[in-house]
Amino acid sequence: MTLLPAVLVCTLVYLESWPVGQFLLGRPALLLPVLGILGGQPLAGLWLGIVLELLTLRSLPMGAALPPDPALAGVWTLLALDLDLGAAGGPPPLDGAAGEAGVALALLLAVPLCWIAPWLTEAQRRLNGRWWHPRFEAAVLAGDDRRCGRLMAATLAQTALLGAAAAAIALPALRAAATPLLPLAERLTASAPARLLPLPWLLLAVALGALWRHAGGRRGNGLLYLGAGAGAVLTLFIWGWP
Amino acid sequence: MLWRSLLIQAAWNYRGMQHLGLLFAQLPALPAEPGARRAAMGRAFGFYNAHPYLCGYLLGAAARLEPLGQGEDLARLKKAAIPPLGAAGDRLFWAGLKPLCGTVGVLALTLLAAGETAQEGKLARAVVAAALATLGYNLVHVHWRRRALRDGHRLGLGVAASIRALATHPGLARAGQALSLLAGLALPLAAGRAMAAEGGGAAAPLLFLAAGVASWQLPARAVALPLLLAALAALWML
Repeated sequence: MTLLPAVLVCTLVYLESWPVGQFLLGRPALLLPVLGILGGQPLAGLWLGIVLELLTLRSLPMGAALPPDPALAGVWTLLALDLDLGAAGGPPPLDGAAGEAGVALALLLAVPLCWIAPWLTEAQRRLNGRWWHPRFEAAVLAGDDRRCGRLMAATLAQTALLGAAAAAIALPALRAAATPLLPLAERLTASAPARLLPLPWLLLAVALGALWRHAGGRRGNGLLYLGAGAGAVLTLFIWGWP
Repeated sequence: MLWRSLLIQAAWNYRGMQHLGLLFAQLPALPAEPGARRAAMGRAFGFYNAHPYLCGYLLGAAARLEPLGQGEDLARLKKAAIPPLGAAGDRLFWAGLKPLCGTVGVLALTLLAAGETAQEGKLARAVVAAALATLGYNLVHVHWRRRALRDGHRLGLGVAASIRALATHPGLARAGQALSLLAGLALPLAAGRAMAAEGGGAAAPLLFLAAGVASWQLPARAVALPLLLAALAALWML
């Protein structure tokens, strides 16, 4: 994918994540497998989707809180790894690498990004307060409802521009960061016994630990244990012991 | 108003939080007379921050009360409704429905893909499973948005009782319990699904999940232990 369509997709995901609608269409478990298939990185898309979804399952945007943002982190990472920068960008860093290394690389980039991406939302919120709030206030004092409508459209356009600008900077930067990280990802996957990827399992363990804290009371914990036990039995039944 | 309510967070800021979005959504319901209109806009401009899906209760009440000249009553209702709308909405949607549908998506994604051998078929089933979970979430979410708007318009000031009743909605407890059960189920299955794709069987995911289970007994450091294990295992793998 070239930079322009990639930036467009990232901007739409950013807009849908909080300023418009919040239909959760950008949730990693849905969007990343789709983008992975479209971009020819199905394994990375599926893995990123599952791990980021579980890792941030109980991160709640309560009140003014800004929880980790798996949607933006996932889509930035996946599209950066699929980015075609033309002659100026050099050869894609994943050329020749095994699929497993691509997954490990995507996880190495995306997991920390979940905690960095909310800074964009924070910047937009501050801008809304300093720039747009006084303009709305003036329209309210004048009793001009049409100006309020125009201001809302302008706010949305500016939010989209900020999202696009952030994506236009983040995607090539992530692509550049991927090149030196690829050998590490290859070492992680190549030397793992039975071609295991350590990162996903460990992240799932982190998710489990985090879920425990939120299960809520004896009954919630009991159900979590019950589900995990049933899941383990089903896992053995479906995929078997090696 | 329903469409405008989708933009309730569009101009979120630290001065009045969602107040600009609420003002924008309320514009069609404001009185036509210029003086009354300016006063109503001033009231709508006041601080507002609650769950974005539940703003319909106040928007519907505004559509009923502002034309009747009961704007001051509406302002008092808004002030009183912010805490229960925020608390109940966060529990119903963010802490209940969203993780529940996310977990259902991951579960369906792993189980549906298990019976398929071709890579393309597995991926197609995975996408269908995730799309169904998202659709389920949005059917409930949009239904609730419409219901809130309708109740607000129908009941006017009486909507306060509906808002109070949200805090004891039976869906809160049910969603939490269903989430606990399904989340426990989804984790080993997701791990097993991915491990099967690597040809390694169920041993490694169960091993790592055991580490997660062990960390349950350390409430304050529940996340720290798996992270430490992660670092050690990554070093060992190198």
